[in-house]
Amino acid sequence: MNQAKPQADRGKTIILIILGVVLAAAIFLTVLGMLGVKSGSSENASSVKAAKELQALKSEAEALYANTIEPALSRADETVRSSCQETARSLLAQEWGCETTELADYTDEDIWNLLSMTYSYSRKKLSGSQRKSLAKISDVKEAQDHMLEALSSGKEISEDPVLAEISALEGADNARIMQVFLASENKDGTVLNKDTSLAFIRVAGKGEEAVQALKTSAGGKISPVIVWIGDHARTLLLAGILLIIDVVLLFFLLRADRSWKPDLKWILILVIIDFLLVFQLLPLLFLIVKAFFPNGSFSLDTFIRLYTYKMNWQALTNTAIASACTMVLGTLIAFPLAWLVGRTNLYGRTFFRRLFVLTYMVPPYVGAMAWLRLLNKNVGTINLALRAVLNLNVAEGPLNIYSLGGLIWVLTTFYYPYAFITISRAMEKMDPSLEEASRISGANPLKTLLKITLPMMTPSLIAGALLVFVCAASCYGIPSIIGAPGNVHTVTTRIIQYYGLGVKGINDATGLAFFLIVIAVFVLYISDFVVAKRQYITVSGKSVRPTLVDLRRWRLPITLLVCLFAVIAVAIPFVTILLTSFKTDVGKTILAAGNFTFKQWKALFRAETLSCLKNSLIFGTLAATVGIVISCTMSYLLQRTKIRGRKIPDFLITLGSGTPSVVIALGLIMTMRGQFGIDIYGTAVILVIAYLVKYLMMGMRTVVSAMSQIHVSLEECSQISGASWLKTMLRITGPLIFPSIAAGWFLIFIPSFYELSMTTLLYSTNTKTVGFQLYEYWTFTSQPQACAMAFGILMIVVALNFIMNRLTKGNFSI
Amino acid sequence: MSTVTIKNVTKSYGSTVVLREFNEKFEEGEFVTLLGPSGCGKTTMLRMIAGFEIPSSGEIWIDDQLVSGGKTFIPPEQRNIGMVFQSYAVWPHMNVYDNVIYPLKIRKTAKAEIARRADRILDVVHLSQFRDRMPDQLSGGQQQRVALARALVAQPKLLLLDEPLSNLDAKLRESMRFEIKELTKSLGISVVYVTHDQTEAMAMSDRIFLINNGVVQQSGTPDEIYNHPVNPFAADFLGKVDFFKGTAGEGTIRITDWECDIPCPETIKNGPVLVAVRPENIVIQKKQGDAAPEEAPLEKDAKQAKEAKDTKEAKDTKDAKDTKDTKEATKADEAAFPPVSGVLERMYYLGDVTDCRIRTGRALIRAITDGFGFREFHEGEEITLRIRDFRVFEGDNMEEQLRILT
Repeated sequence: MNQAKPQADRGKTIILIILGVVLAAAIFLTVLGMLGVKSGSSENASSVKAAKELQALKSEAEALYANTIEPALSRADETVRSSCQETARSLLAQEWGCETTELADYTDEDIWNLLSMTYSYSRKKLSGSQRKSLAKISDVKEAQDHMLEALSSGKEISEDPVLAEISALEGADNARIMQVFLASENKDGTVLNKDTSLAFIRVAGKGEEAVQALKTSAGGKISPVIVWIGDHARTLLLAGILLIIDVVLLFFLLRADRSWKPDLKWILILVIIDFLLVFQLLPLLFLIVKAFFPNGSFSLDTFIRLYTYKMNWQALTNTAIASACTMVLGTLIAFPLAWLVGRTNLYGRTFFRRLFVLTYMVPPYVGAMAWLRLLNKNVGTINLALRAVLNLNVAEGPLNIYSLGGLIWVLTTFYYPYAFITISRAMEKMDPSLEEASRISGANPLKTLLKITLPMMTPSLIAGALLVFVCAASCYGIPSIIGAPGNVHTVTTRIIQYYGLGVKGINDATGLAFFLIVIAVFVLYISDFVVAKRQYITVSGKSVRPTLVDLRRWRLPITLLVCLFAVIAVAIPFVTILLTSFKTDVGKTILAAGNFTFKQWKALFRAETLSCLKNSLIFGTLAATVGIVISCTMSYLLQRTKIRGRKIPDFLITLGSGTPSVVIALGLIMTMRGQFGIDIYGTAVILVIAYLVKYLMMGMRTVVSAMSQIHVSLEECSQISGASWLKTMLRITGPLIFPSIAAGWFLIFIPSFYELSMTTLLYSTNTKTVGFQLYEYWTFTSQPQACAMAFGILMIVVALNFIMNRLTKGNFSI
Repeated sequence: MSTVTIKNVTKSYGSTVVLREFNEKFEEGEFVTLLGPSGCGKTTMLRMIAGFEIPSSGEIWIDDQLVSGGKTFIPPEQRNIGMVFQSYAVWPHMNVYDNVIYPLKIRKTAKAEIARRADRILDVVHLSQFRDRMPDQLSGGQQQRVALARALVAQPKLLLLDEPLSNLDAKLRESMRFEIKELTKSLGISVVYVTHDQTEAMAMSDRIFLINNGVVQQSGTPDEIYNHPVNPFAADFLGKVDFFKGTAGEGTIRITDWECDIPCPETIKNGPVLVAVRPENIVIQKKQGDAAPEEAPLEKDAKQAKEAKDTKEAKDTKDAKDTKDTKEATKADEAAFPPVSGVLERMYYLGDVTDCRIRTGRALIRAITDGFGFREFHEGEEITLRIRDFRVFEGDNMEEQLRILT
């Protein structure tokens, strides 16, 4: 004893010294990074490097301009130059669909600017009426802003490579570029050839940057060390802060453990916390900071601009109304279903339960596609049927999917399972004798439901409702398919639109994303920290077979009603998708002559689609595997340690799943392109990380609840028997919670497999996934093709669900 | 006060039969206990009386009303029964008072009447000062009393209790045992009580139904079941017992491991037998000592009990259809029972009693003497022992007969 103590003390001293040294180093790094960032030398230094490259381009451009363009322009006489001006005016008029006289208010400079913008944004083409309304605006800035809005609903066109190049340039001297461009467009083609102008345009924009960079930098006189520091200031800062957090955490972890022995588990935990900090908190914080400091200094301009647009307001109100209605409707559907399926002698309860849980795993955009076919205002199947039945002689309606109502309906049919599962779970945990006590006290089943079950379920009901709210508010797949074409925008679709509009667009996207972050944090706080505390924990003495409420004469009618709901919410959409996938012409019925084809299904087996499938499987597997390791470690941290602040990573993970996909993707784009020393943009890694951030919680919750049911003594017993922590985890805890681990794995895998929203922002040509392929089919190929793909995905998901059930021997249910 | 008549009730889930042809009548004001190991079907029976389960066949009558059977089924809320659940089932979202008055509110009792009855019942269960507490602020015993008050407040004629004491700690369990017994007695309610705890059953019941494997093994007063078990299972389940294998023949039983003979009751056929001895029925003495003076009155008691039992025997054997091969032995005459000598191997002092292990031949016998025994005897001492009372069961497939099916 006397010998052991000094030894332990020595271990403690050594650890403390090491921690101290690392801490000092970390603080040094942080300070260095802060200085670097503060002095702005980061920009300077990187600029110096960039400037040198750009300078070469610039001189190339200057040479080009001087040798070829200028002589060409001067060769051309004044008439050509003014004809250029004229061409610009008429081109703009043509683009906007108005008379040149209407553009008389604009100066020549304005015309160049507007035209350049029109081109840069006219990857999407404006409609005639939109152009006309644009022409009526005399203020350039306003015209520009409105153009953004108008363009957002247009269709993409971009065949001209020069236009594509122009649109890719940011912050270049628009007027000059356009001048050159239009000179090359000059009819006789003598002034400039297209290739030359293209070459110039390409470098001119960069050249401007180079000039700016050289101006701001100290002309390359900085010492290489400082350049390096400045170059990596943010990386240093990040690394420093992370190290500080790690050291402090390790200190607290070790102190709580009292062993002062570095153990594998602490390192695992620290790695996970670092992962969360870098890939989840950093992007989110960066987005928030960016929203308030759009150009490096505090400004609310972005917000003022954003929230004064009618269209954005419309998007906000749409999101609020749609989410609220979905929440109410979803819960109203989910609670009775959960009760009927869990507590009554409804015919086929287990079947219905499986069915509703299965809907939870179906990609939401599949539903959107189906309902689009069913409720299209012109040719929707249900509309046609209604018209025939009601004998209406109208070309449109009576129902229209492209509306707020349509959006709410589709959101509801795809998000009620979230509430259903939350409520079902709570209902299963509730001690059935609480209801029996009410029955024996003289209350009939209905009174029992209202006076006991419902009040007992209230916390779960609220939690489920809030979950539906957050999911609906952050959904992109459904609004992008249903809302956008009908001009019913939501915050998420607006974010994606802004994202496509360049630098300023990203600022605006950030501002809107902030709104969603606030909602997510607020709702999560309520459901996790306010409602969860009120959860009634009832301990059942033993597992009793819960008495089922006898519905008696209502049994058949209610079963039929549930059947009807299942048919409407599940069967009809799926059948529609399946039928559409065999059609040649979506407008005709499947039975029409020559309308049946396997073409779409054959197309699914093309190499392109198969490589998407391969990608999806790989990314999903990676995300799920890493995710489940994190989940297990987090569960250990939550369930087996008493470290203060262990809830923080838990909250981070929960926050990640509550954050809208588009916001996660946006944050990753803005932080993971080398800004902080990590450049993974365009790789598979960024996709896997995005999936992890979004879906980790599902896996974690499953494992945590399983581990909470394993008594700690089982692990202690293993340790007493001499097994290390890792061995205990692998030999005892692991096998015991295996069904939940498998389930958690699938819960991360399945949504990652078919993910769409984040993939649209983060994919590159090498990392296309099935979800994205489906989206491309839907937008560019044909609806039947997309439907075939959707049904294929659906079949894979169902098969996976089946495998999961087998693997966990039916022990598992979400 | 109600009677409960159960006619030929069988309950099965799919192909598993959990209760087979239950056929009993619980009398007015009677405290009946359904006793048995877990999974024996006792809770199922209780839940069928309550109306939470429907019998697969047979009928249940409360007083002269058919509540379950054939096409008739009266739902639990119309049976006017009070019930206390094992988990108490105190509603966590209501305070004590609201929990207790719930049955009255549901029955739309007048406000003043509700207040009066609630006050009274809260007083009875000693919860008056806790009326505004939420259940999570109550201890297990208090929650249990809330459940009891709630079950009694509507003045039911029949009270069902499903292992109400199993979640309480030992001391509280003991005191609640008597509180429940006293309370129900003073209110004059018929009680059906389910438990797996034999001490609880012994202490509280007017009549015990010992159930195993879905079949009633024996029914009777605690005394009858304890002292005259009809089969090894009954002997084993209530109280402590040691079984010894032996062979019956010519008026004596040869106990294999003891290397001695004991007198055989006349009703036992020749062949293998099981001798059941309760440790408290073994008297130990110093090797050269005299018989304990207090034995005489005990003998008399035992004889009286035997007579009482004989009259009941016919009924009991009917209960034990599955155990036809075991016939109850008649009590042997102690005088004819030769003292056996042995070595006192171990003694465990429990305060009120001393638990002894005695080596006799190849057998290790357990005997329980009073607390003084610990000072009187010493480990390793040679002693003689006498058996005051024992049972003999035919057949020696002990494992088979004791098997507790869950």
